[in-house]
Amino acid sequence: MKNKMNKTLALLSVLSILTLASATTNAADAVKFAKPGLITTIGQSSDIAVVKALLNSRLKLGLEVKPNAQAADLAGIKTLVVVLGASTKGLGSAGIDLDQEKARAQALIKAAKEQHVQVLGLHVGGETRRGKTTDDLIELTICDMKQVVVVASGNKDKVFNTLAEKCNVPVTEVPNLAAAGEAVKALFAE
Amino acid sequence: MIQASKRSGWVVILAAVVVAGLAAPSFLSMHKPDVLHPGDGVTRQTLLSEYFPAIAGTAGDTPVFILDSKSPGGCMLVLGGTHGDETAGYLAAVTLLENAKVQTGRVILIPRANASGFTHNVAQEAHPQRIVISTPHGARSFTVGARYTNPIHQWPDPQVYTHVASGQSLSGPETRNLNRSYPGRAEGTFTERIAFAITELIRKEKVDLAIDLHEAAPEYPVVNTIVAHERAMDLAAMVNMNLQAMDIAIGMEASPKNFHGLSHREWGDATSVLAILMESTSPGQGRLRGRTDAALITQGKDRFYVLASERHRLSVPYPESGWPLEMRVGRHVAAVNEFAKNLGDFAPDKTITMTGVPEYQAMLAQGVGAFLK
Repeated sequence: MKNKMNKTLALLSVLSILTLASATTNAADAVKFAKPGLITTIGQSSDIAVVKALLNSRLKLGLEVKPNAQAADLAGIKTLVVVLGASTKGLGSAGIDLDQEKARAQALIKAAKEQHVQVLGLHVGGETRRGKTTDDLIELTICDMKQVVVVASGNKDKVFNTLAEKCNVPVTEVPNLAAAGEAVKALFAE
Repeated sequence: MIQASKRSGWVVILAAVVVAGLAAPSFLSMHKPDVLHPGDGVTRQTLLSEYFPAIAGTAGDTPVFILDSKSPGGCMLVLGGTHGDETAGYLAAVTLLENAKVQTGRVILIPRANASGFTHNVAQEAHPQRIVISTPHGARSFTVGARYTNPIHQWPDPQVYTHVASGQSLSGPETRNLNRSYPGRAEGTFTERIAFAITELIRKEKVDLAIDLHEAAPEYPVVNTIVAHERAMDLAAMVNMNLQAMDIAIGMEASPKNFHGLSHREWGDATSVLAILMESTSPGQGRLRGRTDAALITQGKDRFYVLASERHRLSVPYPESGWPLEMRVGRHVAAVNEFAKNLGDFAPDKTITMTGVPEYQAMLAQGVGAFLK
């Protein structure tokens, strides 16, 4: 009886140590993104220009920017930053339609997964950059993201949390654009 | 029921003449331009026809105000009143005219870009002819005009309006829309010649940055937004970021390459200028509005828009407090100021420095009138 109890205690101890180690490792993985990074858009909204101004001009993160990024552009990239938001004007300006943009997004995210490129999702356009098209694009891609940062006014209905919970993607909600920049900068911190 | 007879015919004709006689002074009063008070920053006043003499003496000619620091720097053009019923654009340009002083570079202001549009209202819109704003110097009246040039200056409308430079077809009345007429044509319609004159001004003054101020309906997808030509996108993004830091929620859109005639497309394609168009939101522009009067334009409150907002039918939030004129004008003025401030970061020899421009929070607190002479 005593032997059996000792064995059980030993097994529980080993399991506890392994769980703790796993949690620590997961916590470390969830907050780290590496450079070089590439910023692209999913939906072709001009929010990518704002993100470029924020992350590169203001915060000096030095990330590459390609609104129409393709799988081949991931060569040498460690982090793909996707700026979520659909715009008919943006799609028109890019000369593509929504179906083509969805296909590009799916191919890009798939390639990122295959090449072990981590994907960071950003939604900075607020309430006005939501709608069925944007929501469809979010749902299409969110499960392949490692982390999502969203400005609060674009998440009043908590759609990011609802969708992300299904696949355990952490969502960081921030009050405004400046805070989104700081959150991303912290994610890239050495 | 009136029996048809010579007598009843003359009665109807007489009644029509009386009604026309009573209405005529009201209609004609809109042909008298508002009194503006250029501030000390204005160094020269001219007319648009200086840049294209063919419009001299026509209803398309309009005052142009130049604020020249005499110190080398960039040149910024600001247009208000492209659409006469988009009051915040007009009044933002007037606010700059009456307050701004330029220390570096030059600023050129055209408060009533489509002067003809201010001589009438669009039929069946029930827009008031004018609004009155209280200022420290007394009440001032500002015209609420029309989206299009007056049909008495350009008639008739074709069934289909073809933008000659691109071949694009639009509905006939768009032939009188200044913001579908760029870059304009020297031998074109009345409206196209106004557009040509403005494009010539951009070329001859070597304008570096040109901003066209507008308003749009709360249900319109492009509202509370900066629309930028691709060359202006980086500057616009920086301004967008700065405005958001001032708690001014504002979007960004790229100028579509295949939608022709608009300032943000054609100015940028026809010249080397950085072309920007800005929209604020006004219930006076929308289809869901209730009573249309001067209070709607100035206070921006509308219970139907509040209902629509609660049902997520709009592109912008619409609170009970509405979108008052000071908020709409304030956004435009703050944005123009940020564009001027940041231009030099993208082109160091194109710095523009302005002072005297009312701060956004000050305008919200004190109203537009506090900053008018």
